[in-house]
Amino acid sequence: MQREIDMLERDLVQLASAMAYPSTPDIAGAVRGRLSRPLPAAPAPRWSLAGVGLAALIVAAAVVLGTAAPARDAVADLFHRINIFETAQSPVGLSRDITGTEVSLVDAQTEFRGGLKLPDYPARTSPERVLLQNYGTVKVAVLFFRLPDGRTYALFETNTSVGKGVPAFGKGIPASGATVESVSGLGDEAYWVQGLRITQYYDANGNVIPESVRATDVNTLLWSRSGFVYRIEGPLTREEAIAVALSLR
Amino acid sequence: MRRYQDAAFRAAYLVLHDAPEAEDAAQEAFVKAYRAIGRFREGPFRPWLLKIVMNESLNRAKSRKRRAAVAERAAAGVPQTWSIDETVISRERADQVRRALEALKEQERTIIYLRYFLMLSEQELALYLGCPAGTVKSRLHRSLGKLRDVVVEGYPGLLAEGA
Repeated sequence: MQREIDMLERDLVQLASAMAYPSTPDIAGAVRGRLSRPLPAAPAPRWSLAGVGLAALIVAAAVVLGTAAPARDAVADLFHRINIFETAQSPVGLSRDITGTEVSLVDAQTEFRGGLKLPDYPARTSPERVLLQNYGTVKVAVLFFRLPDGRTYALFETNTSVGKGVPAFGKGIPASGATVESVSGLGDEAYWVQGLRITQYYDANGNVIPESVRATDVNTLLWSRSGFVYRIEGPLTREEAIAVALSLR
Repeated sequence: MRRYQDAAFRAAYLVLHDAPEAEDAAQEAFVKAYRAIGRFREGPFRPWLLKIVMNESLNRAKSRKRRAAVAERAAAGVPQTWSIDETVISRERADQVRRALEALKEQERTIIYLRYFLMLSEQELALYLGCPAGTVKSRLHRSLGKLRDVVVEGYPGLLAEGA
């Protein structure tokens, strides 16, 4: 019987190698087209970037495993806004500071063509500080808010005007207890991330911008809507962060 | 994604035997993978994705069988032929192996497709099946044993001396 099975295995190997499959169609392009269609319920962004393709903001969560796993490329390519990927890079020793140029809210709004959104939860307030991070075509406004109980959090908004669906931003998550949970009801996709991991931005060619790399272990809610990605970092619960996200106007 | 679209399309084609349907199934599987990415953790991506592709394709194959018009074309659910390189295996032999595969139960056929046609490693198969690596060997061997039974019954010439 084993001899017969060996013969069949040989036949299977030969048949598999002899198979002439039809040419693979452009599934990637078709799927991107489907995924890039805005959700009917999603409001259009207030700022306009006419002529610029929808940006691809990539957020990557990952395990420090030695080598970048194939999942990274697959997911980065497929889900070209928020991405979970594996990285060999350790966050240990990286700075955790959020850096940028201190600007007024008015200046930041001007830079973002009036498109910055502000939270109504728990009440409409102005940010205590605003930082502008300028990475060439990728600009990020970091708005720091204080809650009534004294806790502060940072709201990251980006123009993501890199176009061509290339990665713009990444976040790596090491194996040291970091977790990623999918969150529903916040636009195209959303994740609740906890634990120590890496944050980094990419240029339009998908290369990491070295000066953007930092570590964080702060609770983070990140989501994408209509091609734009938002992030809240701070000592908030998941429910509080979602409430803030839903209140952005 | 382009890195995996060949495997996804071929997996769907093996099940559906129809290029447009396989394309639709692979597309749908990628979209479902997108929506389920929160459930993807560490480890190889291919078995995770192929499981979604195979499930989508198998569901479509079942649905197709229920549709009278397509069922007529699909007849017994197998194509009249596969395109093959006859310098590697003869047409007659290839057709017999293919028909023997189609006579297997879905789970038996799927594991053979994954191992021999889509070249999943035993480790990847273990992830796909959700079982220990050691169990993969026995499940694969059991499926091959079933294939052997079908061949003995219907296509004994495949096992003849000198075949």
